[in-house]
Amino acid sequence: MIKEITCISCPNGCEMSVEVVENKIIRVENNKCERGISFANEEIFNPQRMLCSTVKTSDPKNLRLPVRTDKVIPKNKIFEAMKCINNIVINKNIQMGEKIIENLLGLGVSIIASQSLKINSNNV
Amino acid sequence: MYDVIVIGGGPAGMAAAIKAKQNGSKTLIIEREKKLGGILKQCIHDGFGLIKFKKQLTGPEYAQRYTELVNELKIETMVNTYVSNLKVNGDFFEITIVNRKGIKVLFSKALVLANGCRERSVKQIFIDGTRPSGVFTAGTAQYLVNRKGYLPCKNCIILGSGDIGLIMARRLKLEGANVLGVYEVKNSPSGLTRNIIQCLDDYNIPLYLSKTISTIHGKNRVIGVDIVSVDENLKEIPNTKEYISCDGVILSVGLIPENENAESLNVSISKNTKGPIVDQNLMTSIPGVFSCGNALHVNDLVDYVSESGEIAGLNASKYAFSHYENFDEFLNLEFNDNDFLYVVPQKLKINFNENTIIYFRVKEEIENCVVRILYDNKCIYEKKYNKVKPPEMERIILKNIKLDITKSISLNLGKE
Amino acid sequence: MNLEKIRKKIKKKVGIDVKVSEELHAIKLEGNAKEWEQVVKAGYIAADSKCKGVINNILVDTIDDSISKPNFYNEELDQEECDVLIIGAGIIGCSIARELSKYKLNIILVEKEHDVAMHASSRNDGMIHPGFAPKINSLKSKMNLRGNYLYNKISEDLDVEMNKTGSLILFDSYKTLPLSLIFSIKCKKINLESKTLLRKKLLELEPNLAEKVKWGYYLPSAKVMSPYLMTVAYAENAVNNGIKLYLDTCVMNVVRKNKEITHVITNQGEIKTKVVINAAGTSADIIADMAGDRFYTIHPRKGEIALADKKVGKYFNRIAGMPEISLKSKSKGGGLIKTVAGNILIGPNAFEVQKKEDYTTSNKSLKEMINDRLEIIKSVHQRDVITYFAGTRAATYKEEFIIELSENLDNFIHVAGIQSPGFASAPAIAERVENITLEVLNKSFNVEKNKNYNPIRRKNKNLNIMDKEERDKLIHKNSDYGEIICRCEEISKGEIIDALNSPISVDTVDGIKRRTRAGMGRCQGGFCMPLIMEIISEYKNLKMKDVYKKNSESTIVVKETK
Repeated sequence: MIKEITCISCPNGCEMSVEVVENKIIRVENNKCERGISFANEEIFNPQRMLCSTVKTSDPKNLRLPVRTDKVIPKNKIFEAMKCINNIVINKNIQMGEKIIENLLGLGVSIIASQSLKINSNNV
Repeated sequence: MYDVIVIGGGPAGMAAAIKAKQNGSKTLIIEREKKLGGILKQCIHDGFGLIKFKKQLTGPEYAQRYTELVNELKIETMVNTYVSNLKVNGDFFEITIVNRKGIKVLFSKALVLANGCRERSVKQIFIDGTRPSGVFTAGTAQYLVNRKGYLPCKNCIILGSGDIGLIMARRLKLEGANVLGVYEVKNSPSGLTRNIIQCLDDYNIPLYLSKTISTIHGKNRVIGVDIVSVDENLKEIPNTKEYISCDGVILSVGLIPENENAESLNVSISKNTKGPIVDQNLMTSIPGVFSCGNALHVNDLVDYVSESGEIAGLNASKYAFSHYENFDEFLNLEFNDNDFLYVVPQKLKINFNENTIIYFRVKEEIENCVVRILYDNKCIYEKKYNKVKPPEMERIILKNIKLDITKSISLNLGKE
Repeated sequence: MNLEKIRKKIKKKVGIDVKVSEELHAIKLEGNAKEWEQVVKAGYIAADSKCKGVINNILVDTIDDSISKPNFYNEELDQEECDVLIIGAGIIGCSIARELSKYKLNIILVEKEHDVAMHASSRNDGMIHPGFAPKINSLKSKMNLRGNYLYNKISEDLDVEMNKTGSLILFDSYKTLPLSLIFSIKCKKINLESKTLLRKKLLELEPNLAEKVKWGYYLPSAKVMSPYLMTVAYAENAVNNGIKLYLDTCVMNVVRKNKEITHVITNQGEIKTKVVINAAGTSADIIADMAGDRFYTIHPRKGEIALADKKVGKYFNRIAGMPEISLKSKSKGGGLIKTVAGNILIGPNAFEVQKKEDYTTSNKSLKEMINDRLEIIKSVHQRDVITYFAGTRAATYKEEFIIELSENLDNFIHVAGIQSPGFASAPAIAERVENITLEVLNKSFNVEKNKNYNPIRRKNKNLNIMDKEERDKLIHKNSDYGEIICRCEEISKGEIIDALNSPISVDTVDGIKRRTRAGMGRCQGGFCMPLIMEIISEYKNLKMKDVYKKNSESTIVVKETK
C-alpha cells in the first residue's frame, strides 16, 4: 500500500510517498532528508506531535508563560496533556528550558518553559 | 551620533544590530514594545530556527536566544520607544523618538528599517454587514490568547488560510474554543502544508476552499456569518449562501509590510512586495537606509528574516564607516509578473563580489519547473524544483556577479 | 386637502390601495404594501399636498425594526424630577442641553445608548454646509445659514477643531456654466459669499483634480469638523454646567395628563418633568407617538461613508462633489471631504431603508460610491480605503426640519426630521429650542440665569500635534504621555487615560477611539485594541471580559483561558 504523507518535521513540508507492506515501511520517496523516514515511521504507526501552550503565572505583568513539550508526545494524548498544563500556576522565577512538569502523563516527556520569567515582586 | 540605528527589535532588527555591532559600529535598537522579540513573543508554537540554530524552537525561544546575544554584545536598546519622525539631514539621519522619558532627537549615519508587517484588517476585504465585536485578526487573537490568556470567542470561524490563521485554529481548539472551519476564498490554501496537517487535520477542523464570508451579522457581537462559494474569478456563485451561527470571526487574510517610516523618507516602494526596492545589500533608494525582515517582504520563515537582517545590518555598518562604495549603477532584476509574485532584491549593483541572495515567490503552484537567471540572454544560473507554490518563499544564491550596465538580467520560470 | 385625490394618486402611481385620513393636520396613510419602496413613494405623494406632515403607517410584510435598547431595567431614576427632559444625546440633544445650561434649571438628558453621538452624530461627514442647498426661506435654510455662522464662535468656546476649507461644486462640462448665474442669484439672495472658478483657478485650490473637471462653484463659508467630537464637546460643557446626562436610559413611554406631559417612563425608572424635548433622531416619531402627538413619520435614509488612509490625505484639501444634474434626486449625498484629522472622507451615498438603525454596509454600493466619488481627483484609489460605516438620516416626508412646540400639548417640543444639514444647523436649532423652552417655562415661573455658567470647555491634550518642547515638558510631568499605544495615530497612554477621566463616563473601546482616535488608523486597532482594553480594565477597575466595544452586549474577550 502506498500512502501519501506530508512530512512536518520542518517547514519544507516534503510530500512523500510511503510504501507500506505488512505493517512495515519498505520505501519512502520525495523526502529531502533523513528525518522524513523517521517521520513516516511514526506518522503511520504512532503519530506524535510537539505540544506548545502556556501556563498561568501569578505575575500580573506576565499573565501567561509559554511552554512546550521537550519531545513529541502521542497525538492522542494532547488534550490530556493540556489538562495537566492548565492546572499549573507559576509563582517563582523561571529560566528558559526549565522543567515545569516532569514525566508528563508518565510519558517520559517534560513540559519546559519557552521563555525565562522574572516574577514582578512588586505586584505579588 | 550613532553609526547604525535599527528601528524594530524583532528577529530582523536584532540580527541587524548584532552584525552591525560585531562589525564595530556604535549601534542602537529602537523597539516600540516593552520587550525585544517582536511578534515572536506571541508565536508560542514551534518550527522556528531550524536553519539558524539547527533546532525546532518556539517563537519565544528564538526571540530570547537573540535577545541574549544582543545583551551579551551590550548593544544599546531603547524599548517602549516610538519613532515619531525621520529625516535626512545632510550625511546623517535625524530620528525623533518618544518614550516615557520625553521626546528626543537622535542622529545616525545609517538606518536599518526592521518594522515588520501588519495584518490586513476586515475593512480591507470589504465584507457586507455590520461592524460588531468578535471580529479579530489572527494576530490580535494570538496576542490575547497567548500573551494575555483570554479567549476571544467560543465558536468561531476562520477566514483565510494564512499560517497565523491555521496556527490560531489549533491554539483556540487547545484552549477550549470551538473552531467551526477555515474558509479560503482561493482554490488552494495560503498557509504551509505542514500547518494544514498539524493544525487542522490533527484536530478535525475542516478547511473549505473557494468559499468566503459574504456577510457578517450581529448588531453588538457577531452572531453569525453568511458563507458563499466563489468561482475561479473569486466571484460569488448565486444560490450558494449558507448561514453559520458563530460568536467570532478570525481573519488571516494577508500581511502587509509596515513601511510608514520608509515612506516618510520617500523610500521607493515596490508594488509587488509593498516593501522598499533594494539592492543586494538591502539598501533602499535612499543611500544609508536599509530594509530587512518582513518590512522588506513577507517571509515564510523567521530564519530568513534574521538572514536579511544580518545582510542589512552588516551593510549599514559598512556604509557608516564609508567602506561601502556606493556606485549608483544598478541593473534591474527583471521578472514576469505572471510567473512571480515578487523578487527581492529588485535591483543589482553591477559590481558585486559577494553572494547575491535572491528571494522570490511564484504566482501559482507549478510542478517540475526550472528557475533560471538569464543575463545577456544567457543562462547563468539554474535550479530545478519538484514543486513551487505561492505560500513558500524560495531562495537562491548567485555567486560573484559582474554585470554590464548595457545588458539585462532576469529571473525566469520555465518547464523542465 | 383632498384625501380621495391622494388615495387615487397613490393607487395609480404606487399600485397600492391605502386608507387616507387626516389627523393632527397631517395626512395619515394606512394599509399594506409589498415593498418598502412603495411605502416611501406613497409617503412622498401625500407630502406633495398642503399638510403639516405625513403619518405613514403603511405596513410591509416583513416588519423587523429592532431599535437597540439597553438590556436591563431598574428604578434608579424614580425619584428624579426636572424642569426640562431632553430625549436623545446626539448633536441636537447635546447642543440644546448646553444652551439651556445657561439657566438655573434642572435639566436631564437621556440617551438610550452607552455613549453620546452613537447614531447619526457619529455617522455623518462632518460638513458644515454653507447653506446653499436648502430652499430659500425654508427652516432648513435659516437654520443652516445661522448654524454655519454660530460655529465660528462655538468651535472656539468649546475648543473643537474646525477647518474653514470652503466647498466646491464641480462640473465636467462647460455647457453647464450658465448654472453659475443661477447660483450667484441665489447666493446674493441669502447673502452667501461665492465664486465661479474655471479649471485653471480650481487647480490653484486643488491641484489633483481630475482632467474631466472643467469648472466649479466655490462656497468659502463651508467648514469641516468632527461631528462626534463636537457632540462630545457640547455634552461635556453641558455636564460641566450642571445638566444631568443619563446614558443607557431609554424612554419606554410618555405619560400625559390632559394637555401636559407629566413624566416619562424609562428602563431606569420614571422621571417627572415640566418640559419634554424630543431630539430622538430617527426615533423621534416613536417618541411623538408615545406622547400622542405624531404628525410625521421618519423614513430612514441610509448613507455609507468610506475613509481613506491619511497617507493619501495630501492629494485633496477641501470639500468637493460633482452633483448629478437631475431634478428628482432628494439627496444623493456627499462627495469628498478632507477631515480635520487628515483623512479623505468619501461619501455618503443615500438610499431609503426600512430599519431606523440599519447600519449594515454593502460591498457593492460602497465600491460603486467610492469609485464614483474618487473620479474627481487623481492619485487616490479604492485600495487606500481603511474603513467604512453607515448611518441613517432622520428624514420626514416633508423633507423639512420640525422645530416647534406641539400644537396639542403645552410642554412637548418637537425637534425632528433633523437630517442633512442637521449637523451644520445644530447651534441654530439649539438657539431656537432654547427660546421655545423659555417661553413655555416662563409661563409657570421666572427662569433665572445660571450664575455659574461657563461657556468655555477645553479639550484634552493631543500630543502629536504639539511642538516638541511643549510635548517634552508634558511627558516630564506625566510619563504616560510618552508611551505610545496607538502606533498608526500616535496616541499615548496619557491621552487615553485623559479620555477615561473626561466629564462623561467613558469605558468602552469605541468611546476611547472616538475621543482620542486610538484605533482609527490603518491597522484598525489590530495592535492597540488589546492594549486599550488593558488600560480601561486597569483604570476603570473592570475585568477584561467586562471591557466592551460599545455596550455591554458587545463583549470582546469571552473568558480567561485555563
